[in-house]
Amino acid sequence: MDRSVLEQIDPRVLGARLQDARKVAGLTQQAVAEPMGMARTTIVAIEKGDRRVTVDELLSLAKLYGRQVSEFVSRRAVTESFVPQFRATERDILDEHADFEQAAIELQRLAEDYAELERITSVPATRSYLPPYEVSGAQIEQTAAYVASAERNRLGLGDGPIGNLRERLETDLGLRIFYYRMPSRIAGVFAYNDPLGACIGINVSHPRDRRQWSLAHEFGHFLMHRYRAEITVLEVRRRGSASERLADEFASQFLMPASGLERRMTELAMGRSTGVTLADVISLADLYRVSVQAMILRLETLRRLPPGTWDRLKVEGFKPQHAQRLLGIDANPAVRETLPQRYVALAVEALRRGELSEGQLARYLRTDRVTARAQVEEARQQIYSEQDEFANLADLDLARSLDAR
Amino acid sequence: MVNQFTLLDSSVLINILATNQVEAVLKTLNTGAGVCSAVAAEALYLRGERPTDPRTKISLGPLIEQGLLQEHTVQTEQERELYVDLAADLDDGEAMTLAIAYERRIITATDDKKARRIARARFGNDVRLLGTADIMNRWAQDQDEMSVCAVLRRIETVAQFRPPNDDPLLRWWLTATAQP
Repeated sequence: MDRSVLEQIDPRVLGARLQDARKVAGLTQQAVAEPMGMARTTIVAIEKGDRRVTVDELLSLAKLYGRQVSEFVSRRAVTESFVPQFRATERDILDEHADFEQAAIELQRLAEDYAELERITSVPATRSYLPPYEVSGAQIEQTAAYVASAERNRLGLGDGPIGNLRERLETDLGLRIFYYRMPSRIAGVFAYNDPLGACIGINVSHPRDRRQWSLAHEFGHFLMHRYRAEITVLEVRRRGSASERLADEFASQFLMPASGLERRMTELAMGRSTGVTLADVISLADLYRVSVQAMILRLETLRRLPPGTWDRLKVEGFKPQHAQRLLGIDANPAVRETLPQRYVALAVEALRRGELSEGQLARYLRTDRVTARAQVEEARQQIYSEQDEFANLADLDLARSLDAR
Repeated sequence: MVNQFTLLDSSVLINILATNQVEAVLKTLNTGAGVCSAVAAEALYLRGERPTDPRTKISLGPLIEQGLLQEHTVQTEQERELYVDLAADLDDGEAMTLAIAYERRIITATDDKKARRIARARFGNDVRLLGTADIMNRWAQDQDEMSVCAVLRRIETVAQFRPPNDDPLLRWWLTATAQP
């Protein structure tokens, strides 16, 4: 007779999955041991993989953690967990805020789901990673300027605003970028390992400009501190570390390159007696998808605004959101695609092939079944409409002379 | 011995809930109708009739209280073991539905391609499968064309379902929904 799935699965894998689920549920080993009628040491042994769980124990644990049994016994490929990496570099912050670890665990789950979709559809990830930049010892501003300029050149971005940063990083470099809910003080997370590649999580609840900044910031970590898992926390004391300041400086220079900004400021000032106005700067911030504060501070650094402009505006009670509303700027549109487009396309393809069930699809897409069905339909229509476009193009004679004579 | 009820997977249950005629549709099964506890625990939503309408969360509680749906769970050791085994390849609702269906030789309603493939491969003819189109086709026998059209269109809109291309009843479905 075939061995059961609990006999086949590596107990260390199952133990690690159970441990992650317990932590996400916010339970201690002792709090689990009591309702399970076990000693705490038994829970420790199960999580370490030293003791196999029985079917009934697994069903009880899944219920206790509010998780699906299938999450624990799925046949998906096993990868090294990001959590120990985060623990190694962010121990203090994780000890202080137990809920922060959930952001790391969710990044792991999303990245594993993505890799699993690639495996079952046989469409491997394409990565175009250069080695990390060597940044030790150099001045922060100079290093950030060098790396930002080199990456803009490599990605062919010129010196203007970047409207589609996420798509560029996903498509051109193969980064895995996810938007999801995190505790409000976390802006983003970054982690890397060989099987999963570079993975970035951005807090979906933050405003558009913050999200864009966080994405550039985490991209900076990918370029300069790749082997160090990182949680970006919105706290002044945390932002003092050298790697955080470098990533922030990189974000500033990458999103707002000096040459492009200088040119726009010159154009704005031309032929005007009033010079550049507050409305100009607010519109410029919107164009570059950065906060008004970030834009003003950058222009101060570039000496296109007097030093202390931002501080003065703050003292005067300036409220950026109010000003943006007056100018008709919606700086906080919801994120339309929390998952990468390619991830969704792979999930739809896996469903079409019968490699994913509908329930699994909904779980991969982090939504309910009917919304997942709608996404599948939308993806199918896109494919059909593209096929129609190709059909029309096939009849087009591109060699036809356009000379009217 | 074949027990006299049909176990509905979420993929079919959502479509039946979308009809707004749950009692009449379930009666056409000529058996009782049931769901497993994993399906009952799943958060199920339906869309509104207009694209701008918010989605609605469905509660199975009233249907279970009225006796229109029975809730079943894995009871024996064999059912629990089979459920966990199937959960390696399916989600919980799908795995528990098939485990109960096989162990109790119950008719199962699922539209899911993967669940159907696994059921056929593992259980052969020991599990009899129905789909949404089978159930709606039976219900439609006693209905006028306009009612059938309206209900099937509602399934398409609020449950976003249409039978797959390999469903023998797809042509019937398309004809039935093509009313002016």
